[in-house]
Amino acid sequence: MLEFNAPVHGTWNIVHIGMAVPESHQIYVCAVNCMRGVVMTALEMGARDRFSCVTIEEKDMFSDNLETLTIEGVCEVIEKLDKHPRNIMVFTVCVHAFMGANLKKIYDELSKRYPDIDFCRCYMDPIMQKNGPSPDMKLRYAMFEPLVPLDIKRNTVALLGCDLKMEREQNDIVACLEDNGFTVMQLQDCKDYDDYLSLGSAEYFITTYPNAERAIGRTAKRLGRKFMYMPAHLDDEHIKNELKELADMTGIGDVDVGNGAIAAKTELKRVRELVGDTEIAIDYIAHTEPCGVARLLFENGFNVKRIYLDAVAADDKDNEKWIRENGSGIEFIPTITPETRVAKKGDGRALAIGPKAAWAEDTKHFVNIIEGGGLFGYRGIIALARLIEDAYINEKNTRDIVPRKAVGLMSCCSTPDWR
Amino acid sequence: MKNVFVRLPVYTGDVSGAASALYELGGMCVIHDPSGCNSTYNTHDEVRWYDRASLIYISGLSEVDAITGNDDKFIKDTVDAAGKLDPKFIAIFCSPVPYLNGTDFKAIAKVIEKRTGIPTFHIDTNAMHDYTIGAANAFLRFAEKFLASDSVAKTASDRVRLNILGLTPLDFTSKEAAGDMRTLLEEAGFEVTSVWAMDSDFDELMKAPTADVNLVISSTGFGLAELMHEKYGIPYVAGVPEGQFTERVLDTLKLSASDGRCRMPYIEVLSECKGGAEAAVVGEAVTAGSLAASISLEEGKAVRIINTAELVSEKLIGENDSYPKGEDEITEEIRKYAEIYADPLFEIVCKKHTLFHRVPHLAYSGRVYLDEMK
Repeated sequence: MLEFNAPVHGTWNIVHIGMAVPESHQIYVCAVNCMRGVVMTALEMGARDRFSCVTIEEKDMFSDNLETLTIEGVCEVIEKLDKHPRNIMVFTVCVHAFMGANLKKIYDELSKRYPDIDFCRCYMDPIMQKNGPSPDMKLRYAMFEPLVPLDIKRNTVALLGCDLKMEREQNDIVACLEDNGFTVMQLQDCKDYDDYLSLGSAEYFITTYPNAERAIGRTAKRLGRKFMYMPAHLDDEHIKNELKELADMTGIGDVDVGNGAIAAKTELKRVRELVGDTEIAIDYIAHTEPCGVARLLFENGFNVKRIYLDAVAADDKDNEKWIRENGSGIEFIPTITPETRVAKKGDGRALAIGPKAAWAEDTKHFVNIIEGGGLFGYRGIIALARLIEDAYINEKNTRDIVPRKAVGLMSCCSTPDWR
Repeated sequence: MKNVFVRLPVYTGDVSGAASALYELGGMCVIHDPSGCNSTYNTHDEVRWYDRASLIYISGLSEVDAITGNDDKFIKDTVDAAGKLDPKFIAIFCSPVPYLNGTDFKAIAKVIEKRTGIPTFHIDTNAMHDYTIGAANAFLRFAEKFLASDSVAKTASDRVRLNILGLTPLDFTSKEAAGDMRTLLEEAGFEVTSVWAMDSDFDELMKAPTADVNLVISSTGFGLAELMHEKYGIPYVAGVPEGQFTERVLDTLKLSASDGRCRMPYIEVLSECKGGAEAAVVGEAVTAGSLAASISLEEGKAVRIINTAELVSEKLIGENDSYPKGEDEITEEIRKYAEIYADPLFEIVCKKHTLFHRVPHLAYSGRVYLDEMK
């Protein structure tokens, strides 16, 4: 099937994700057309000075020059920078993969010439993603490769792999750990490269984000640390089990979540009464388990009508099955099919959860979150309910917001109205 | 190395340029690419994407299909989509990996055309050139496919009929650009036959061979102008009617329509000012040259063009102008001047105390300075 790309760009791409490593510099080695998207990304997020590129031309593809071009191009960039960055992420592309470029030779040579720089092996090779990990999944591993196993700081947990910071008010993992005397280390809190390297002292490693499960799991294994994958499920059973497993791993003991469950239920009920029968639409960008969100809201009386998604993630399969069997009237709508380009949009009356649903529904009432917004557990459900309440009460400028890149980051650009 | 960019970005790529050129013509464009081409294009280089639908897609090429040379999926998916969407034409674009493995786009276009009954053609993009090349190729291929193969009989007209060539938002970003240009020319007594390609539909473009003269307002339209000159004997005039340069363009259009000769009035204006220049306009040749001509006429001083996009033809710049390639050469060239007119992103490479005039250009800084492009 041909693929359509909606004018909705709130998710983070590899530039945004990699820039989270402080004092890092990204260098892309690719064709001009491919370069355009990443250099403009860096520019719009205000990180142009941490981005450089080496363009590939036809002659580089028909000679054995690609390794040389990559090595010499990266070295020239380094020499032109005011000072050596402590970390350089070199992104090779589809052409490197297709031509069988010797990446080991490239990185060995770079490390030999610049032993003071940590080089991360990064990829912008979407041609490989149909049969293997996507570029962003590989980046989530590569960006933690410079970590080495430091002396363990007891009662510390590195909570990594999610693009957005997790705050205790909205996240039961953070709250549970902090309430029991643990320090939660997140990449978003690292002010410099030394802070970043200190993540290697964490006692435990956790991720909640599916695209980071493999990356953070491998990182923990490499560092000899315990790892737990805690997908952001939204049902009682999973939340309780996950928090119990967390408690077991860290030795916290029993975790009392009874009040949390009741508070979440009460908050959902309050917001449900406010929004009444307003139709609800959810997209796959908003949450890693859009069917889970739909199920939660449906079970709590919300008038869920549409779910926008193109594939169901493994963690969300049971929810999808449940909705197909029990969620009467809930439609599944694809977002990348060719017909989507000309499909009739909504009438603007629905409340959307996620920017893509907001675009498709043509509504100004939407919750602008991606990847679950850093929410987890009952605190996460309460926060979600309040975001729905806010979206119901307050309009957003959908036309201006959803074409912007990377929810949560700076966006130095304009989004013109061509109606 | 001219391939290294540390302080400057790159221009919009050829794939995006081709898509922009064909955007409003009712066709379906398919980029044979794994991922990213469409997102890059519609995020940074296409201001119409949110509000005006156009059928532009990627094929989602996979590693296995690329290695095994399996074109069937690409063909089938394109045929399926066309069956549902009924476009006026289908244009297929190449990207780096299909370029590398020698995918036969000409043959694929023939197969798709045969299966769908919809006119199909390919654009020679490979993602390694900038938008001027991509858009120019798209206009050329479109014209070769659809315009009359021989010269056409022209009816008499009181007014000079002209086509505007090379108008895309990448160089003319205002929503009113096409309308304003049309109005200006019609008020000056011309009849606008077609605009390649904004606010002008497929059927209007088919009338292009009946024009008396072509007005080339960016290098993206230059190849098409040469084609129409060769095929239909229509002369061209290159230049954007703006500021003090407007009258010169209008007069030249009438002259060329009358004597059938092609002219480059901005190069003529700029070469009339002898002596060393202290000022230069940086950017795409025709738009930069026209601005330079306008400044030169208004202020009576020599101004040069620093062509930083790819040069579609050497005819587009004069002997005193320059065509630096890569960041180092561009920087060196810009630093020769005390006064620079350029996209704001070029300011970083100017020498100290340069008098810098901001001329935001969508094909360079994307949507970062859109507010200034009114």
